Amino acid sequence: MWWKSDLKMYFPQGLWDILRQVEDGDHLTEIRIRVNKPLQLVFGVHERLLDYVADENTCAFLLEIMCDHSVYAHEDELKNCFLTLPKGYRVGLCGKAYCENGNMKRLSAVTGFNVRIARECRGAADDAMRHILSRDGRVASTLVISAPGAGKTTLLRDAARQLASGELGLKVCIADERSEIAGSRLGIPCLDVGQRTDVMDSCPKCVAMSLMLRTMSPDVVITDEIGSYRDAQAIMDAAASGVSVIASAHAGSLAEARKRDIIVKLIDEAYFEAVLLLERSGEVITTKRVL
Amino acid sequence: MRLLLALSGFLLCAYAGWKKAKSLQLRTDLLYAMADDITRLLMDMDYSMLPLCELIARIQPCKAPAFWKTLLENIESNTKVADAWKNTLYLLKKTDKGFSMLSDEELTMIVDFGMALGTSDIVSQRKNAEMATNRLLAHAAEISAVLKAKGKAYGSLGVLSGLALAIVIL
Repeated sequence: MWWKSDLKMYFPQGLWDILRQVEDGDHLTEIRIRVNKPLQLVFGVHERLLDYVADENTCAFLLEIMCDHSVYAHEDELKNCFLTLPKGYRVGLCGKAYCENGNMKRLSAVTGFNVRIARECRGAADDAMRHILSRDGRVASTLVISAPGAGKTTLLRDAARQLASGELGLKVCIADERSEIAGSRLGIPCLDVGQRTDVMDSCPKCVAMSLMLRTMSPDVVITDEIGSYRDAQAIMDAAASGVSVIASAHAGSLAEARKRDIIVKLIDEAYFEAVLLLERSGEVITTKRVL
Repeated sequence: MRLLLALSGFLLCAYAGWKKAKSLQLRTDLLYAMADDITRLLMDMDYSMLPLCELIARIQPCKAPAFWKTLLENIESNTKVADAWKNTLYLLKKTDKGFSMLSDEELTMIVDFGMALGTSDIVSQRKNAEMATNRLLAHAAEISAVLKAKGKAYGSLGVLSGLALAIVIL
């Protein structure tokens, strides 16, 4: 199983001994570790509690290993309660927060981990590409929406790969704020995002988009989980420069997406030409064009 | 036969005196080297924010290469940095000429720095490194002063006691 070889070095020995015995791990989506609670494995819609309880020391060591023994290098991520491991494995974190003036400064003790299993799924964007590419071969600016866990990031990654490879051969830039699309380590993508793709890793997406527009002359910019006015402004700047943008946002439907002002603005003012909705039903994910 | 014995006694005493002075010199050099390397590590950490293992592999110029090389090997075998740091020091205390000269107090100073290495934000890392280098430099300066004052005396004492021993034997 791919995740076993990817994650082996990020778990303390005792915990790994339990995880490596998981035999039906192909459908594993999350590994959840909590202090003094049983280890939880999530398989899409099912779950299993294992007979392993992590203590405080194990969690502290787990954090140290997941940070590559370098907490200082992950300050920004820790402030936002997540870490990204190479190959795009995102780890959500919980615990004792230290705040100053109402702002989160850091997690002083991490007591809960949610390791989301990353999948490099070639062909995940096949359906979406019919909508992303117009008949004249132009790339339509596209917003991909879905509830969490339906495969937005996987779709974006595969779309980047398809656009930047083969006959299309477009120059694609990825603003990868959380290192999930390209799964970079030290700035080098660990996942296949195409032959002509440049990645700006761990940089706020609005800043990354703006920088890449000016310096990398992209045909297409791809980014994940837009949510702020600054993100919207960067997308508008890209459109004004004639660059197509493919982005994603959390929402269960178009109506839910339209509850956010910036999404309404971007859709109504035609900055996005297509909106695709991903829906998950068990193991099957469908792509539907809703605009 | 007596002449040979006297010569051996003289050489032994002279060597003991020289070794005492030399050990002071080695300790001073090593403490300065560790302080320099820690400062360099922190500068690189501050600038590049690279993971610790990458930084250690890249320390240039490196003044205590044996230490960092062994540390890197220990960290990569899935141990805590604090444990790897401590193990490296105690291993080198047994095998390396320079580290074997360090006193327990000096070893503790270096161990203390390793306890917090990599486990906190960059501000805390800076403070930890500053404290460690200040302690190391102050201690190295003290030994250096002793070396200046007594270094030659140890050498001379060795030679003189060697001569005395030789005369007694003859």
